[in-house]
Amino acid sequence: MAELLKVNNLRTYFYRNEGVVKAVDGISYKLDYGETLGIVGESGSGKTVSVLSLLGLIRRNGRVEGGEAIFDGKDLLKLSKEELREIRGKDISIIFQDPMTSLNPIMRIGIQIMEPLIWHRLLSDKDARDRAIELLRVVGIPEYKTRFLDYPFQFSGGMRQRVMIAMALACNPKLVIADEPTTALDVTIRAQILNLMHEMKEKLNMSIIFITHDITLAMNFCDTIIVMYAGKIVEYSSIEKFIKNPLHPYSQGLLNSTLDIEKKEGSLRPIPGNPPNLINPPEGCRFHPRCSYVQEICKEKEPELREIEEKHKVACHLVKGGNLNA
Amino acid sequence: MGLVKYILRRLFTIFVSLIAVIIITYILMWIAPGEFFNIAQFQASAGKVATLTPEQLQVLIKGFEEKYGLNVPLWKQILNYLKDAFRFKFGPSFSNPNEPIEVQIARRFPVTLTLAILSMTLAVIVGIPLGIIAALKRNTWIDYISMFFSMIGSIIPAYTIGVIMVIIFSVYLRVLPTSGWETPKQMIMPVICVALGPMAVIARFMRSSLLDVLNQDYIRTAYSKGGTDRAVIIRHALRNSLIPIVTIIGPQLAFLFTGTVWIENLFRVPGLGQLFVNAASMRDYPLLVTSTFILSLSVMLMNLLVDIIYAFLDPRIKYE
Repeated sequence: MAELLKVNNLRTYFYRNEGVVKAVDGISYKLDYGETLGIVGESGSGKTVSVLSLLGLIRRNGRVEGGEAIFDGKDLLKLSKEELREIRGKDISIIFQDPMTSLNPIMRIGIQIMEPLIWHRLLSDKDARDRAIELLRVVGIPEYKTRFLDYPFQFSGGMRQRVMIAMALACNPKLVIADEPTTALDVTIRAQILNLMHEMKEKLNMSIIFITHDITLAMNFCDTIIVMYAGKIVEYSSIEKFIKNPLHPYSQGLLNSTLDIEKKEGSLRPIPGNPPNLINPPEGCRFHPRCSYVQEICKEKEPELREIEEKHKVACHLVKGGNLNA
Repeated sequence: MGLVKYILRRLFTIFVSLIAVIIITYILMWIAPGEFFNIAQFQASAGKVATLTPEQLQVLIKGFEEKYGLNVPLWKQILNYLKDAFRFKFGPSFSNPNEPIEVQIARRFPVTLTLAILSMTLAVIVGIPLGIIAALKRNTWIDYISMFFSMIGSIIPAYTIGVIMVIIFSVYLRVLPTSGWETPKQMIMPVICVALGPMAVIARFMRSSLLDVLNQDYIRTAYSKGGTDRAVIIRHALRNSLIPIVTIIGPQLAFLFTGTVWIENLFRVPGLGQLFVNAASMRDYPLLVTSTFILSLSVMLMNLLVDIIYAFLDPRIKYE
């Protein structure tokens, strides 16, 4: 498959009074046309920043320090503000986490869906209106013709997320970034939204970057998975290989932290401790203070992301010959 | 339909609140030391009242009390006042027995109204853009300078600025007249002085409101859809950030309606402020109660107006 996006050694830092937060510290990945990539990690692991950096949407005190992000032949990090704006919403769109706060509360949702079409001069006002109504139908809003004129507060959380999806799909983007699209929703609604996204992906053949803290969700939904910890990629694998053989102690820890009714009682083994402070991250492997297999080398030397087998990379000193040798 | 019902219900609340305000005012005046007659006597001590014998004075006071209905119990006085007040009949004042208060007010109100509206317009026209610019250029020298001036506007009292302006523009530059309220040229300084306070408040409010909105998730959404700065700020940020500004403009305007005492005094503007301040210092009770009545009424009506405008600006608000 052809490559749509290739990110190389991306680094994004935030400048705070207490010091420099290295939120994303040298990550590389690639994404093919039609591929779904899952980025998994705890809050503060840099998963959202690693993607918003590409579109220049990080907060004011943040800066992309280096790296490149080749999208469709162009380096997103070197584009002018205007060139980047032309890509936002048209070639790359985003579904944000909280549909309650991500829609303008005092603007009719129909207008909000029309905006990207008009801003990118793709359609006339009237055609944009027809397209927005059509999109509402596609994402499964009942009575979509009248609801076009409603305000966000007149929708439930799940319906608002459908509106967000309609908005993201408006310009037929090549890449949709879904930033925890189901986290703020009820469980029952969550499944509906995931189904809808799956359906859209099949229909429109777009690539998706799916950001989530729920590792089992990513395993169900994605083709490839990236596990991030403290601003770095610790494991990068095709989903088949990852399901068969998750290697990094952190990945295993995440899996052990999820409930599995088939396993016996006591199988829930949370990772002890908290994610590290990213102003002064731990020496060596950033995960070593929380790792149950920690050895001397882990405290001294930072592990590199090595290819263990085809389509399976791990950053851990203790992984040898396709196994975690602890 | 909902709107008419809503307004009627609010008007009823205003009616009840006004009664409460009047009762409290009467009680406060009754508690407060000092009486019109003592003060009038003191002020006229060189005049003819002081030369009267105590008996003559008693007769005079008795006649006075009868004329103003002060010879009945307090609750009856309140009732008598309320009966006429809602028809805007306030009777004569102590200090000006020949002219009913409503006539005195009617003569002065247009002046105060003009001053209030001109000043508030100026405050809005300058304050809102100032706040917007400060927010958009936050933490730059543009922000610091505009907030410095708005700080000055809210710290230094209007009458001080008024005096400084008179010194600069009337004494040294000789371009503006010092007082009066007939020609547009005479209005310039009073209007600017009255406008400075609200202008400063509006600018600071606008700045923080816009900054708050710019940090909202939906602004990021708008940028993610490919909006230019211009489109995002005008279409998404400004309208949302203007909503809270309406709340502060309403009450500010209501207070300006009842006069801006110091400025009116300084520039000899024949408005309501002077009338009401004299009422307090002279213990001119009918006038004092009426000024409270008018101030309360205009604050409450302004709040009602603000709430109605609010609902037009924000679709989430419904009249219940």
